[in-house]
Amino acid sequence: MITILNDIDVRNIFAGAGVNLEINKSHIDSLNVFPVPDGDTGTNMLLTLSSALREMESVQSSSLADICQAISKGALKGARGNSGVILSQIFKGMTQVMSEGNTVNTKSFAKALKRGAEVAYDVVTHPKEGTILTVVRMVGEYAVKVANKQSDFLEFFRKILQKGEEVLASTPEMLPVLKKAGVVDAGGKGLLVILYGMYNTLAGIDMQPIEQEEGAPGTPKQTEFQIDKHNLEEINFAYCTEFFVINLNKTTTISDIDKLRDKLNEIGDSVIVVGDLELVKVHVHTNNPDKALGYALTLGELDKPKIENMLQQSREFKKELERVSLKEQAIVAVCTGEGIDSIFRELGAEATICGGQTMNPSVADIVNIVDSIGAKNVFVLPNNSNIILAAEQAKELTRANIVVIATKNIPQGIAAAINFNPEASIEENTRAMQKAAENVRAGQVTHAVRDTEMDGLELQTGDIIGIYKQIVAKGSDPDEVAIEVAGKMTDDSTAVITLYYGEDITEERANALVEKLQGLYPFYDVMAYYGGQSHYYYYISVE
Amino acid sequence: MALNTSNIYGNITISDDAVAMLIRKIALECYGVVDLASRRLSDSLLELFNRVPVTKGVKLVTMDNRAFVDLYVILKDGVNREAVVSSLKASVQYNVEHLTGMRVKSVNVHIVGVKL
Repeated sequence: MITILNDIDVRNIFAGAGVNLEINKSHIDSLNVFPVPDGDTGTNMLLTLSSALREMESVQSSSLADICQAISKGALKGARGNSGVILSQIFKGMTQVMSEGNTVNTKSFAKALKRGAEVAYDVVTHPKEGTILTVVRMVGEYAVKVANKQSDFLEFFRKILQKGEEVLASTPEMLPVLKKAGVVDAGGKGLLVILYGMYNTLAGIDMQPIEQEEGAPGTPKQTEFQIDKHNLEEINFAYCTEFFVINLNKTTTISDIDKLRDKLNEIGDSVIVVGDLELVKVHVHTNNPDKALGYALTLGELDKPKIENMLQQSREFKKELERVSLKEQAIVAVCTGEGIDSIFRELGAEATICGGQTMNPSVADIVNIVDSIGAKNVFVLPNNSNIILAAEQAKELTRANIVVIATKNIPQGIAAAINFNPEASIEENTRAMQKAAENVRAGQVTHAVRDTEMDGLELQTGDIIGIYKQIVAKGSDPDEVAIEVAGKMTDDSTAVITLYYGEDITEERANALVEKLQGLYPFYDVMAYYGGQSHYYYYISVE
Repeated sequence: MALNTSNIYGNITISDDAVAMLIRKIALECYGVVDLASRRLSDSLLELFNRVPVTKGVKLVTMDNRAFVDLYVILKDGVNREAVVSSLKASVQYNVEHLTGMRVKSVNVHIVGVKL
């Protein structure tokens, strides 16, 4: 039971927050939805926090007020991007309250969170709900309630973190752009990561990278550029201008700083003016960076000015897009296993979605991937009867024209992908791929997961079973069952037998099976490829 | 309420009355404005005793360190109302911001009479 935090604890929890944020930085970056990133959320927040930590470490004193002031000042100095600035303001508010006493209890911590939210709301001219602001506000309000009854920090953190997760999960409902991208708010997530870091430090838990969300294993690997390429935002203000005002004139008052904010709002948007009489940080998107600098010069000296041309960034981005999206048609395949994945990529699939029998990708996963490709027409190979419906649903949610080839298993999908011709028309491709998929006979070898009686066979958990339309073979050795299934599948018109072996089967073993099959069927071609799928020992494809 | 700000030397507080006096002076200097009309009972009472209240005809509300001004004016006959009102607003806004360093959020002008 921890009821009181002293100065060392405060140092530790902020340091812990930094560690946790660092581990999860790339995950937060991947949630970025805006087409012209003026930085990535996770990176920005981390830079802000680590600047605060550096400043904190340079303070030797054990007075809580000094430590708090260092955190607040360090965060402000290092603040990058919108999320960084908002985070620095949250810290500013929190540390204001925390520095009032020599120790911190749950009540003052809750008050600190609430104050952090208030300060953060103040700096944003048009606060948007569904962002980090919403998360910090609702968590802060809830924390005050919890703190009244709960004096143990561990229990307190558990409760507010739970609330935070709830709020975060509802952010896509508040901001349409999040919903479209199928992600939660990155800044809000970052804030939770920081709070988790604090909790983990107190509870003595090791920092963990965030696990990919349950039930959505489709979170793709190439997440860096996961944006809707069909919908680029127009840019109204060309220059992202950022600078510090330091060494302010002696006559400069707080209200002069407020006036600066008003003036900047007249010439641009995304205005952030934060700071005090020692240091002011300014961020504005405007067409007149000269005026912005001019106004600020009347207050004090300028430092570290940074002006970026966002129009140029956007043009380069669009050019890059055009280069990428020259393709009229592309294939997206749903599959599992690295071997199968690379087979699809070799066959010309633009992207793959991780998914299969036990883990169906959501509609949003499919939409995400399809939009990130930027092709006009996208063939989706669901490769599983349970995913076909999701793929059909995705049609309505994306601007790309989706054609779903209703492949029910991996062999069908591969056959369809082989018959894809980027030069042919959509209709021709659709016909060719569908036909190819129908002509393939697919069998699988897997193991029973429960005792049951099915298709006239009595099965026990762990039995190896062969499936071809229904369960046709049962045994204890995958290879023997595979041979039996292959026997049921072949007929006079057979020419090729292809095996895709799973992660549990070694290459030697698969090759031995190929030789055995070749011996049994000398007139057919028998081939084996590494599929790497789990649960299924073999996929057998007969053409 | 009063206007608060601070610089490195310390806090600065400007009382509403001080600002209102300033506004009255500025308004009376505007061409076309003959007088400001009292809208408050206390002002009228003071006038009974032949004392001109220093903030007569100025209603000032300050919130979040921003000023909201209402002026009750009597115009000279034959001037362009539009022109006087706009110059009055601009000059009050500019002078108050310049002299007090505080922000003026709104200036509303009410014409309550015309001096023939």
